[in-house]
Parts: sequence; structure tokens; C-alpha cells
Amino acid sequence: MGMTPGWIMVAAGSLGGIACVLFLVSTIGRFRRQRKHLLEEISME
Amino acid sequence: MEKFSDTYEIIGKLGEGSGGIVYKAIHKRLKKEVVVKQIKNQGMALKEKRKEVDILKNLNHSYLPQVLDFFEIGSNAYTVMSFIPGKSLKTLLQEGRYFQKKEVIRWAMQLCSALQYLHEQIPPIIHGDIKPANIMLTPKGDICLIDFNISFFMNSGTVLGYTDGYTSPEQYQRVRNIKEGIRENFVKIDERADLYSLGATLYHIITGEKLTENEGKPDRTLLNEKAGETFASVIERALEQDPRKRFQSAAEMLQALQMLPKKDRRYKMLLARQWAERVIGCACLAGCIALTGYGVYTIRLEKIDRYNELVEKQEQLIAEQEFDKEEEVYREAVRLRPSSLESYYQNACALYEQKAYEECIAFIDYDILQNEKIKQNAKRMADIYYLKADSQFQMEEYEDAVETYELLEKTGEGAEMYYKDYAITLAYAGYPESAEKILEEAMEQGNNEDALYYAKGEVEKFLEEPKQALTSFQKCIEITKDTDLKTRAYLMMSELYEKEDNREQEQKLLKEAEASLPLENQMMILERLAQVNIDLAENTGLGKYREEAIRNFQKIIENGWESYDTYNNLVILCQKQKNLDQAEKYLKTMEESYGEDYNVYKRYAFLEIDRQKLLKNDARNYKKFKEFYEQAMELYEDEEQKDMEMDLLEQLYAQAKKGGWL
Repeated sequence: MGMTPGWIMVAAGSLGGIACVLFLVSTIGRFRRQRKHLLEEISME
Repeated sequence: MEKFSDTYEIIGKLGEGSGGIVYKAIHKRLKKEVVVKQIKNQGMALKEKRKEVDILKNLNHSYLPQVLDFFEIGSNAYTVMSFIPGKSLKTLLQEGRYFQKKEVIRWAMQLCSALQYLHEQIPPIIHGDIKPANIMLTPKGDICLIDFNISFFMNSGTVLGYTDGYTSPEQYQRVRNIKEGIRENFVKIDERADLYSLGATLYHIITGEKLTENEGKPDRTLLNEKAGETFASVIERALEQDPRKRFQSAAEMLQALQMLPKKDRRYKMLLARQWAERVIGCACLAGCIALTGYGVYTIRLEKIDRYNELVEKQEQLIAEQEFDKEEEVYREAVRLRPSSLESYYQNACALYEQKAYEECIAFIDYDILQNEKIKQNAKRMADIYYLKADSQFQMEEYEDAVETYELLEKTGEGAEMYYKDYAITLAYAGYPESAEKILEEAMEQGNNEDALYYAKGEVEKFLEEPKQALTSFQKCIEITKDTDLKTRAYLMMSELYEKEDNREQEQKLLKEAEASLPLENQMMILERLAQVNIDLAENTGLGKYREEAIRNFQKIIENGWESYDTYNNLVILCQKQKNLDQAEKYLKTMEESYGEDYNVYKRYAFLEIDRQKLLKNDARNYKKFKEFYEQAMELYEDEEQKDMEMDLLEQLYAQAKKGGWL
């Protein structure tokens, strides 16, 4: 059937979803480090 | 009993507090510096005091001095505590020392920790005199909360004094009441008094100003400037006049101090930004999931659309008689949706159209009826059973066809459309009564009468009741508005007249059909009419019938329905009408349209003979005839079927040769 709008949506949605999941997972450590760094910075002031 | 002097050696006086004189001493054996504090007699029996010190001796905290011993010398009592090196915060303030916010917060947390420890004792221990003078700053940079001489227990209810600027309002009120001789109306003093004093102390060391300088109320502007908004709010809460509005415990105040960095605006903004990022991330994820879901749904719809396109294509290819292409399209459609019945039905129709009845039946049996993947649809199943039944009918398997019609009836769908064919099949299978019954039932149910009269006619034709059949077909023709049905009825009547050898009546009927039917239904009528005219011409010898037949064939050509036989017949008719030039024209068209074959040269040869017969003997030349004859013979050698006219031609050739014409 070829690359129809349906398949384009599935591909885009899947890739986008994977990217979102990876992004959200990355926030776990990254955000924790950001908060820790800022708390340390504030404490040092 | 060991004497004081046996254990300790006084090395100096440290000061004088509200509790009494404070000395620095050395434990002679341990060589450890200690603080010896005289306890003023404040109405407590020495026995009670010892009991209090014993309790204090068990205290062990990083930010509290260790109570080591208790002595009575004469009427005085002394406590021995560990010596805390360093300076008090009061001393440091007096020296003009400036304290950074972060170290003040750290000390505040240490003091809260110490107070929490004290307040959690059973019974709880209230310090009662927290102030810069009672807070030591050690060389390590930590604090130590000293001077427990005002400490009392929750259930003792005794207040021994206050320090201006640091004492809580309720403590101050009690002192005033006692001094003024006012009967105690129970001003409750609890650990929140210590928290007030701590707040006042923190206010002093961070701003450099004591509270009394502002009537006990903190200078908010100054505090915010020195402590920052969030730390200032902690100090302010500790300094609430109403104990109910302060922190309810040291633990709570400690937690508030620990949370200070988290109350910072920048931290809150970071949290907000991170939260927003996560929300956006989740929203995007939800969007992607929704997009994927919608995409899956769209793919399903696209598949259905594509499938429907393929089924339409199948129908179109069947109409165009492109059966090989139809099969390819069928395979593609079935790959796309193996459970849908439509494509299978179309392929069955294709096999039926090709008159491949055996294959059609086998396809229906194995690929449709025994296919578990297919979702059966009652209406379409009726159509499929009809195809099978009709294929069986065409193969003269009438009993099997009847069984299939019974299955069709069981589907409950479309049986009324197939009544006539069912009735005809029953008649052919030898069940005329059942056939009549079916037709009567159909008529009673108000089904299409015209179709039923047609079916009745077919049954009567099969039962060799020509008069009844003619009547039924005539009735059908009179009432029907369906031109296809009318055409078939006319053709059936034509067959009956042919069987009766009533060709004039047949010709009349077919002329009536030509006049009454629309052009698109006239092809078979014209072909049949032309044949009737040819037969009439043969029987009567009258040329007018041939002329009519020629007109019939010309009309067929005008409408694009011509075939090889059309031209072949025209050549023969024109030849018989002695219109040799016209016959030759038709022969040429035949040759151009259908290519060379022996029949064309045979016709040329016969035509040439007729041409030469028109000439006088001495003008005749049979050379062309010979050429045509030889070409016809050459091509005829490959033919399997015997042609009597070729034998005749051979004879004519032999005659011509014998006669010396060749």
C-alpha cells in the first residue's frame, strides 16, 4: 500500500512517543542534579 | 565520700550568671577542663536539685554540654559540666563580629536540633533562657547551648526569671503576675517559649539589633534585608506573640529551616520550570499516543478504502472481460482483507462470466464456504449460493442446484430475487409441482409478477407446454418494465416459434421486439431476426427476406456489434442477391478486421466464379479463381474441421480445369 497518511501518522506518533519517553526518563536524573546544584548554590550564599 | 577538692581544681572564674558563680576547673585525674557552676538556692530542696541534675547528666547531644557531676558544699550545690571552648555569641556581637546568613542558618538548625532533643525528653526539658550569652561558638564553628540553670520541667510550673529582649511574652507575663502578686491564672509555658527566645536570638545576631529596641516587634524591612525573605519569615514566625501562631515544636522549626533553600524563589522557579517541562513532555507523549492510535485507525480505513477500490476494479475488469487482470486484483484484495467476502464474490462472478462453471463451483466450495477466515454476510452468501446454483444448473446438475437453492433459502436473504430461477431449476430437476408451488407462493407474497411469469414460461417450456409457455412469456412482456427481462421473454418466444417451425410468426414477433425494445437490448434480437430472414429466404426463395437480413446485419454493424460471422453472412447474402461488388467490399473488410483464413479465400473464389459466369465464355478468365482456390486450399490444410463448401470448391476447380479454363 505504500506510505499513506495513516502510516505516516503511526511512524511520526511512534517516533515522537519514543522521543518523549526518552526525554521524560532523562529528566529523572537531570532534574535531580539541577535541583541539587541549585540548593547547594543557595546554601553557599 | 569524695571531696570536691579531691577531684577538681578551680583555675579561674568564668563569670556570674543568674544561677550563680561559674568557675573553670580541671578534673585532676582526667586532666580535663570543666565548668563548675554554683546553683542558687531557689526554693528547691537539694534532694530535688540532685534529682534534676541526675536527669541532666543522662543528656547526650552534640550541641549540649555534658553534665558530669553534682556537689554539695555546705549549703550550696554545684554542677560540673564539660567545658565548652570558644566565645559566646554575645561576646562576639560585642566585638563587632558580623555573621553571614548561611552560618546563622546552620547554627539555627543546630539549636533546633538541641531543643528538639531537650523537648522530647520525658518529662520535656525547657531551657527557658536562650540568648546569645548562652550560646557558645566553638573553634570548629559549631554552637553549643549552655546554661541550664533556668531549666524546668513541664509540670513544675515554676519560672525563675527572664532576659529582656529574648524572653517569650507568656514567660514575661507569668513573671509579672508573680511579681505583682496576681493570682496565677495559668499562663501556659511550654517549648514554644524556647522557640520564641531562639527567634529573638537569631533576630539579634542577624540584624545586630535586640528586640527590645523596637517594643518587642521585629523590624521587617531590616530583617528581610539582612536575612532574606524566606529566613526572615522563619524568624518572624518564631517571634509571634501568640504561641499558637509560632512553630509548635523545635522539630517543625528545624524542618522549616531545612526547607529554606527550597523556599528560595529561584528554586521554586526551577521546580515550576521542571514541572512545566514534564507536563509538556507528558502532553506530547499523550499527543503522540493519540496520533499513533489515530494513525492505526486511519490505516484501517485506508485498507478498507483500498479494498473497496480493488473490488470496484474487479467489477470493472469483469465488465471488460479482462479476467486475467481481475484475478490479480482479486489476489491483492484478499491479501489486504482475507476476512471480507466481497472480493471472493467478485472472483466467483468472474468465473461464472467466463462460463467456467466447474471452477466457479469449486472456488465457492473450497475458497469461500470452507474458509474459516471469512466473516459471512447473509446477503452476500445468498448471492454466492445463487452463483453456485446457477453454475450447477448450467452444468445440468439439477439436483445439486436444488440443494443449493435450499441453502440459499435458509440464509433468509434475497430468496425472493431467485424464486424464478429456483422454480426453473425444480422443473428441470423433475419437480414441476414444486416449481409451480414456488411460483404461486412467490406471487402470493407479491413478488415481481413479471419475473414470475417469465419463470412460469421457462418451466412450461421445459415441460413441453408451448402454448402455456407462450402465454406466460407474452404476459411477462405485457406487464414488465424491465427491458432485459422483456428481451429474454421475446427470445424465449422466438425459440418456441422456431421449434414449431412457425418462422413467419417468429419474424413478426422479432420485428415487434425490435420496435419496442431500446437500442441497447436489440443485438440478440437483430441476430436472431437476421437468421429468421435467412431461413425464410432459403425456404421461400424470396429475395426480400435476404434484403431484410442484409438490413439487419447492417444495423448490427452500425451499432458496433459485428463479428466475423456478421460479415461472412453479409458476403453470402450479397452474393446470392447478385450484388457482387458489395460482397467483395464486405470480404475486404473481413480480411482487414480478422486477418487471413481459408474461408476468406474460399469466398473470394466463389465470388470470382459468379463474376466469370456473368461474362461470355470467350471473355472468361479463371486465373484469379485459381489463385484464390490455391490460397484457400493452402490455408485449409491446417484446419481440423471439415468444410463441405471446400469440397464443392474443389469440384468447381476440377470442372474448370477439365473444361480447359485453367
